[in-house]
Amino acid sequence: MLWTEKYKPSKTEEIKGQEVGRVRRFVMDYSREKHRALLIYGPSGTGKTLIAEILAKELGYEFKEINSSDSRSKTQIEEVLGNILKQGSLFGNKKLILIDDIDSFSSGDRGGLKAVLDIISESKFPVIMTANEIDMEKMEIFKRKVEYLEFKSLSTEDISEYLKKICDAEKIKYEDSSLKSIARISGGDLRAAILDLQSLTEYTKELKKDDVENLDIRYSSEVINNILIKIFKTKELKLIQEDIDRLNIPLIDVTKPSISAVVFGNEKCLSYFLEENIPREYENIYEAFNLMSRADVFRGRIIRNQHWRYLVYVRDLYSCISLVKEKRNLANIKYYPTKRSPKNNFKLWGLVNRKRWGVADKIANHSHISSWRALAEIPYYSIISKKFDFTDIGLTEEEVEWLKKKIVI
Amino acid sequence: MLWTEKYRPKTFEDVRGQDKIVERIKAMVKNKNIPNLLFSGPAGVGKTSLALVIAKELYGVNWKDSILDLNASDDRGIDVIRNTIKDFARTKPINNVPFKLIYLDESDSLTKEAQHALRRTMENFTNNVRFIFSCNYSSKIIDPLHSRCSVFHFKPLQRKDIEEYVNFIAKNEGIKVNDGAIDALYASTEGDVRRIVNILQSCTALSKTITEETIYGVVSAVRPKEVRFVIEESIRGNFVSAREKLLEVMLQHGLSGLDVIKQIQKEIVDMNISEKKKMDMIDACGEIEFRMVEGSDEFLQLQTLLAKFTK
Repeated sequence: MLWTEKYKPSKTEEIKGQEVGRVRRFVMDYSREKHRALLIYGPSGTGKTLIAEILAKELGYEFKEINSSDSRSKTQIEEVLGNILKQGSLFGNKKLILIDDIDSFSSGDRGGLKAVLDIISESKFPVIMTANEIDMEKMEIFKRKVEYLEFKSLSTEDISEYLKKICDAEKIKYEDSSLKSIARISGGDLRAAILDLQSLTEYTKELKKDDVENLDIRYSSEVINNILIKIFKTKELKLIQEDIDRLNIPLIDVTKPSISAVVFGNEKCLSYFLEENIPREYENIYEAFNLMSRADVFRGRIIRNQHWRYLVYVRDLYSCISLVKEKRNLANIKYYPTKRSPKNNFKLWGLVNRKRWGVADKIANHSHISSWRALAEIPYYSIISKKFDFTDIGLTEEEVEWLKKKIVI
Repeated sequence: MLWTEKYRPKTFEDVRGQDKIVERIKAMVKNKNIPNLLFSGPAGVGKTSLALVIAKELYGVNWKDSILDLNASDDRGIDVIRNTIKDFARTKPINNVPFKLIYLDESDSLTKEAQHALRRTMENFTNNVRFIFSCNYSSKIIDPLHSRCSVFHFKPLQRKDIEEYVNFIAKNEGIKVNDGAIDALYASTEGDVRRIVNILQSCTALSKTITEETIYGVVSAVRPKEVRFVIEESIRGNFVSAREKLLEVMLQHGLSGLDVIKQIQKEIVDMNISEKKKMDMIDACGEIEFRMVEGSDEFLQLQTLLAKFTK
């Protein structure tokens, strides 16, 4: 059994570091609340979903939940929630409704978000929603309609306290500092910390310092740093190859794993560091990038043909980057990964191009193309909008004004 | 009103330049018996249009209820797609047709895993659903899907098809399009009809008479100016700032790696550098485009190109 289930908090007091009282008041005083739903947002493993489950139990409410594994089309949601909400409290049975991960409703579910909004504005029962991110265009329909409450990452102390209880219950030998390390590595995610603890100690019944250090290596960039120093400052081909072989990084940069990220966790991560730092180290950067580029061709071929032996060439081509430097750059440089990790890009899109995506989405819906394609055609739509009407396909006046100004001709 | 929708083919006869394909599909539709279909071909050659025509011919006036139009690159995750399909497949088709249609556009943007998952979904609904997959590169579709579909390769439209189409629109809209303009449309779009219609409507927004100059005016106005800057900046040796700008342009305009390289290759010819340098740069573009198609990381490949320019 997973310890995340076995040792799941079952009382509100056990949820640390969050404004539990606010949630409780929201549920109990729902009829007097101005907002019709409470949107709890924050990182994973901070207790967002849990608080709703526990409160329902403590207050004696019937718990109804829509989570991300359900289909969440408009009809589906109305099916599940519509009936519950309309029944009212005929039988005096109070209900608490949880709609989990609303930020992961996809664009295809957009009717779904609208349906949620309609339902909460009529609801007689308290509605709690959760999300990791609220700073997204599609979430804007909830603005002013819901109350926001942030759940913060847990402190290292809170997490290690919790782990201590588990260790005692499982009769595991441990040192405080090791528990602290696990807590720190988890980045404030209690669930991740419990999982790490279980994987390290379930069979050995002992938390060894070495093990935790291994865990640490998985996450810290020190090991990457060592490889980079070897590649950039030496020409020891064989040593570098061995180091790359030993590299074991989970997807620290790759938060939304695409297929290539999953397959090439190590190589991809190294490649993100190399690409960012080659220009700082080398004068003639082309030779180095050319090797990276050819390594990437092998990655593509592995994905397509599953010919895994090519992986040695990916490794060797990376190692060879050490050989193409003309002279050693003696300066001590601190290495960073590329800024274009998927998560960053996503943020950029969201912030810079909110309006652009909104317009593209609407045009895409209207004309049977993907939003990506519509986005690429926006300059044309801009010129077209100078004479033709776009409000008939659902653009607002404001969006039309924005579109008109995109291209000056 | 967008002309791309206004002038979207409504019948089999309206679909131009794909005569052989249309003929075969027509026969299938007549017998109300179509297999799963895989349409492959470049953008704007009529794949979506043909799929919609099939639905119209099969189901008549209320055709929209019997076709589910999904875009694989927008609908996040295969689970969403699968659930939507499940919902859709639950209800009965109309008009005595034994099946409903699911059109999955840009299927080649699905990962292999997602495609395998789809294969099972297809099997679950063989009784009452037919799939039409559309993609740019059929090589990116896994074999098991291939083998469950009739495959149709769409060709880019010929100049004469385009001329007919443009003249039809011109007549209907009361605009004048001269011969040079049609050449220009053809040359600057590689036969992508959606692009052609967008350019045509853009030109109409500016003038009732459309000439070669109007077309090139529009085409160069919409081209992001920053790409030129990125090239120049890398030639000046400022690799890091060129690469930053490039990332920004791609995010801002939603350009793919291939979009960018296409434009770089076009820009080079007009640049104020020696012919020898142009030759080297175009050569590099070709090599990098090839690696981009073969590889897995478009932005890395573009950086390599910029690094080459820096040299």
